Amino acid sequence: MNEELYDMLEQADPQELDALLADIALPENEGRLRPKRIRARALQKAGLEEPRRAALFRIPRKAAVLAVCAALALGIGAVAYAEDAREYAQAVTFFAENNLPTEGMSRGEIKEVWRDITTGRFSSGKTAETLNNALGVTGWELESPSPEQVGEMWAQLKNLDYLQKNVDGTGMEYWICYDDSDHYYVAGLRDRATVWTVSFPHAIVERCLPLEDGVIFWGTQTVTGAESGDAPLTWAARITSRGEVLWEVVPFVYERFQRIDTILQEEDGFAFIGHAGAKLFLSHLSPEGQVLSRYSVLPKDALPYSGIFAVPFRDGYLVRIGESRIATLSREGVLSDFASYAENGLLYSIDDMIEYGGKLWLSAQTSPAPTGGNAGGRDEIANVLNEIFSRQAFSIPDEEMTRLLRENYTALLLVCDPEGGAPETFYSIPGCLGYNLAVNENGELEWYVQSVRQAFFSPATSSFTIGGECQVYQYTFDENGTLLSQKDTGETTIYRK
Amino acid sequence: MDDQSLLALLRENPERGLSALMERYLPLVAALVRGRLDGVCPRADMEECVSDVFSQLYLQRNDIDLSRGTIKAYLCAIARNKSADVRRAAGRYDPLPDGWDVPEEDSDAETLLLRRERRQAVVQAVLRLDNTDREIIVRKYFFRQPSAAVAKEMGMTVSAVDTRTHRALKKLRAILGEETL
Repeated sequence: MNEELYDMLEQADPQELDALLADIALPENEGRLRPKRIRARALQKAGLEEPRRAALFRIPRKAAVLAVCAALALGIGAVAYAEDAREYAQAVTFFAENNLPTEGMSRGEIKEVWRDITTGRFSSGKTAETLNNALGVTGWELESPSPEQVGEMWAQLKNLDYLQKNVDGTGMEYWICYDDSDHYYVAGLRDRATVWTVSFPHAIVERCLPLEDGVIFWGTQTVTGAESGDAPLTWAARITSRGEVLWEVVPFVYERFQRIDTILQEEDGFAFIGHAGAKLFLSHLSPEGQVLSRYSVLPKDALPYSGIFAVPFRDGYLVRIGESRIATLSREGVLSDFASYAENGLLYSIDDMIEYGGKLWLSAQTSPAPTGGNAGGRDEIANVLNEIFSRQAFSIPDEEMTRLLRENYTALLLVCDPEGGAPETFYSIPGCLGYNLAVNENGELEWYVQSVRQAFFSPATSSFTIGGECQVYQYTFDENGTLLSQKDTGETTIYRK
Repeated sequence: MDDQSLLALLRENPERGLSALMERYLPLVAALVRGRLDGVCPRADMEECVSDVFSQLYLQRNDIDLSRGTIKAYLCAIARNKSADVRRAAGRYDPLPDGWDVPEEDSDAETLLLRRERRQAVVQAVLRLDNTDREIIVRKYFFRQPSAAVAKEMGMTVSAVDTRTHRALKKLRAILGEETL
């Protein structure tokens, strides 16, 4: 849900409206407004009289009964065929929606792959072959992939949270999935085998926080009222590693367009931090799910729709409330500006924050601000897209695309005085995007960056224009900021913009 | 009856033309107006607003240029403007929180241009969704139908509508390459 979408569609011109409304069945008259009265008033305002209504045609009663009987007889005989046709139609739609190729596949194979993917099994060789074909253009095809690899291929192709998985302290792995009816369910797996599933048909499950034993899933649930319309509420559920639901909770005082951004585990329970429109929300919950306190805060500037996250900091929290802006949030809900990073001609984005060695460290990335058009609001890669478009070519070799993308980004390690003030650049790595920060068991600071390894231009793909893959590198520093080591972690991440 | 014929009928036989227009598009306009005015004014005012939309289109029948949009699109544009008038008359503005300044007027040419570019980008992004997702987004964000109504009319469950809305919004953010939506 978002207000900008309401706003933008509200301003659409007639031609855009026609495109938006094409092939959409007109809403039905639900009967709350009285058509006869409206007709009469419209004619009256137009200075006209209601024309005499004449019956255009009438179906004889006997003929109608015969027609219904004939339809029923045909229908019974066609049930089995209809079921197969319905499944096949669903499968074909699924292929089309996900840009999967059907060339050379039989009707049965298409349905087999559809079932294999939508049930999350990824065990059919045909699925691997289909995804290989779909990914072939990117050069990412694999030979004889395992079901896990096929699942990852699917996640790569979709760049979605379907396979978002997390592991708790007992080794239980948690997945967020949705079934054929588009209901969300969560699954607990051990050794890649599903041990239990819990369905949440009333919720949209977005993320999870693995605990020592169990997990908290969170997202929104929708309560639809006839008068009020949709009222999505923030929602969270705690589940043990054995699949028992301990509690479900609505953590914040309701506000339109609300969402949970971060859940932090604390000594005495959990801190929930979220936002809606201009307001920030903080709630504390006991381990048993009892809401202990609720605060709402009104920052002096508007908050972005997403990209807000928080980390523990001193006695409270540090919250990223804009691409390059951070603030402190006390446990009592007092928000104070902490730092922001800005420089003319450059865009900054903070990816992670951590306090270490008496200083605050920020993992960030920078890219040039758009010098021409903003490429439909995609400021971060506007210059890259403008460069491609200026060549008036709708294809570009992957090597060239990779070079342009690497030139666009620089990963930055910023350092700040914990009392506040402007961050300073401590380390920068061209060709990379920022990633995570952590302190390892040796007490060293680990900074992870994503090095753009390959990229491709895909203007016809619906969900992104530039895709690619990054290699994750780790840099280690001691408390004095001395670089201790640098290594390739072997991990890769997917780039989509 | 296509738009050309309907427009011709409106011009040549106004009573029949306007009746035919309402026969076809009354549910559409009623849904648009209800989505914007439910809870803002009584039912009778909503009905007045819907009748205003049709009489307005009739009064402008000689100015309608079908190369710029279909009758359906004209009706939608009039319906949202009339609804906005009613909201304004009812004093339904979302007030700014205490201590907030009223934003400066930003109707200069550059701002309008930027806003238009942004709107075009968002509309294009919605058009790049698959048909089902586009229909759900249009129903929820343009017609402002609750999920239950969308589900009923599209033959889906309410949770399926909510899930697909959530995913469609994610796709839109990805297409627009940003996180502001």
